[in-house]
Amino acid sequence: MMILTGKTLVSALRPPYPYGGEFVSQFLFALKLCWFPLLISTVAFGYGAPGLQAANFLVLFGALDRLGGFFVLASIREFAPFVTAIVLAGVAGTAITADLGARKIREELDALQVLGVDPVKNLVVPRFLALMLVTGLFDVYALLFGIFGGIVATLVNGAPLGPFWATFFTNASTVDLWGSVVKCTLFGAIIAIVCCYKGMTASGGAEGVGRAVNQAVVVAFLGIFAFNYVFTQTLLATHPEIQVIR
Amino acid sequence: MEQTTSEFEWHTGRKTPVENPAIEFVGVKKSFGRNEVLSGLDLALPEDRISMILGPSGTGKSVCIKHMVGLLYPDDGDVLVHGESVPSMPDDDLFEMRKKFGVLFQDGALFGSMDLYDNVAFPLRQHTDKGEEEIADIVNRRLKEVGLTESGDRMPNELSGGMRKRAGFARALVLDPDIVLFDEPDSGLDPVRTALLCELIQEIHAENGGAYVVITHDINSARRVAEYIAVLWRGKIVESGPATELFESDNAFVKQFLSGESHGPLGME
Amino acid sequence: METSIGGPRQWLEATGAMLRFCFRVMGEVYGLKVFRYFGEALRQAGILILSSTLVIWSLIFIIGLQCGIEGAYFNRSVGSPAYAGVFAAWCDLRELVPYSFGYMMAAKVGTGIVAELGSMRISDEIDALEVMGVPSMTFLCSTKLLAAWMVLPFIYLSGVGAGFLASYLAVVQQIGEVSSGGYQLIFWAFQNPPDLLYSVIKGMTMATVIVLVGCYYGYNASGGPVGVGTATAKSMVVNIVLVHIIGMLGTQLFWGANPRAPIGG
Repeated sequence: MMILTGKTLVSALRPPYPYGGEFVSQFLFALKLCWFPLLISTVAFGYGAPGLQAANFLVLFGALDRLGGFFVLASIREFAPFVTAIVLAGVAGTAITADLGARKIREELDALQVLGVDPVKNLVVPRFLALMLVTGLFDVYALLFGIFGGIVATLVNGAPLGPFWATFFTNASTVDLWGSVVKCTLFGAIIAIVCCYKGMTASGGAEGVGRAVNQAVVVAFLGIFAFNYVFTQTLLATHPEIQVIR
Repeated sequence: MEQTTSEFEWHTGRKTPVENPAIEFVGVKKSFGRNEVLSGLDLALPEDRISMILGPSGTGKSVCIKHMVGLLYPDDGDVLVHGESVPSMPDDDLFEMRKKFGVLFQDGALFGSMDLYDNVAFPLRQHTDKGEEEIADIVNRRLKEVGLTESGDRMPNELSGGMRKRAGFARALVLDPDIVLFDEPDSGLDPVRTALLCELIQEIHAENGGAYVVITHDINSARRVAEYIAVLWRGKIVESGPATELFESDNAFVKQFLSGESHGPLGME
Repeated sequence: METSIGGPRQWLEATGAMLRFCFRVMGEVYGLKVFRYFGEALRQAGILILSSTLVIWSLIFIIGLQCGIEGAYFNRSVGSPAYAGVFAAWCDLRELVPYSFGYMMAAKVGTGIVAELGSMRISDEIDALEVMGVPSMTFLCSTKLLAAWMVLPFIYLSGVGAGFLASYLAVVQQIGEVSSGGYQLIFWAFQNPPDLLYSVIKGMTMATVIVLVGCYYGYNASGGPVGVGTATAKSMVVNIVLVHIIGMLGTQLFWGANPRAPIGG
């Protein structure tokens, strides 16, 4: 898998760049596939977990106006990238593995190589770049809808929205935002590499592709979670100012 | 390719009357979506013979088998097994009726999670109260018949295609079925293995009797084992009858197909 | 090739077919038909324990760490660092453990079932079962559901334990603003047995849905190994959405207007 990562990076940077068309089509493909599941997931997650439970918690302290601040911490830093990554791995990642796995067992990959076309450059690189970009963009989208979930939770608790926004904007910093987007983009890279690798190494037989998809999601999930932990720790350590909720 | 004339021009539907048929199709129609696979199939397969349903690829041969055991139901018409209508059976009777059948699927359809011995023993364990010793007896006898005595403890994915087929054959036989169905027993086998498998089918049929139905597009195996032949094309029977009659048929389609020539009514389409 | 959202009509039809399938499978478990194949159910349970427990634990453990860290920072901000335990208790038990359990179940068990049943379908093994007079739906799907119900509550509970341990490590050992005893006091004061019960109900609902969706897609797979791959991918999409919806509805239902916390007014 590491070898594939290296190869992908190298062939992404080295000319020629024949993967433009494939990149666009993969990008649109992932976009079309993911927007609806992601919409439902982020609103449901934002409303349920950080929204209702945190509101419950804050009502205890009589500090429901702090929910906005909490959403910066919860949604931007943690849950938005996290849910985005889960949905993308589950939806776009599995589709990529199924697609590449199908090509592998139909011997299309071998055919490409025989025709003198590098499968890494023409298949993996565009997917890698497209998924990185899509995941980064979807992070913003997930943020918006996650916060929408939070707004619904505030309204359900009968609190005005003014304080929500006030604490939200005092707490939101650019570091948080770019941290979130960068994190998500890297999630996209992990998903793409894992899923491409598993797809391209799918074995024949009736079970081959299904098994590959299964392994791809499991590995991608574990990778995302472990990476998430490391990234959050690093970000908090290097930017101590964002630890404090104002 | 000059299919300007009627689609069923060659379907004379000529058939020799069969006494006491094991399986009968009466005007069976079946379509998947817009694609009509069986369009009024009339067919009777004799008891105690090896019958063959022959036809070019994609003419609904496998669909035929699934109708016989009630895995698919016809849209129209009826399927009779020993005079009983399969589509109108309640579920419990259907499961009971299926015990009369042994089916050898295309790739053996062995359960990947069990070794060969357990695969063959599976129907016995599910349907009889025989003790393990008695089961071992039967299983070993069947494995010996198909020549797999030494491979009982191997997993299906360690076996070659031919061995998987023979193992599937042993499993199909283990409940002493009245009717045995073979779905393309020769697909993916080399000519020699095919010949050996055909011989095996003949031997076992000679020993156990019962109605054997083989589905294939391979003419050589037809020549070797068939006692009764039905030629299927476009969801209908072109001609059916005892093998000797069919090989001398003057129907242009049957002639072309049974001799494997490229000139005739059957084109690439 | 991938049609996750067809027209609304196809979508409805697919949902109807899936519901009919689910009710049949559940009916067979409920009608005790499945106990004819209890041995198979036990075997499935064994496979479930051996293959999935570890990944589920490790995922919940990582989530627990996250929860602890965020909880500690957040409570510091509202001026009550001692109350980090509340955050961990609620965040772990009520939300993130069910979610991460659902994710990992969908990824590991759900897609695993699709891959297994799908390959059995396309290599005619399911037809072979039927022909041998074994009702395949009972033998394959209902036994899996029964196995899941037998085993998963325990895996889930031990998973909750893993999450708690991780939060404790993160709050007390790593950040270290609360003493071990102080953390424990708050942590245990803010949860009670009904919370745990609700959490298990949430997790089990997810698990049931995931197993059923997996069975549906696997059992009805077609189109060779490629078809199995596509079916696996599709099942994952459906499961992700359902897990989130169940999570939200569960929260709303169980804790929506009742925080169940030992603080007056």
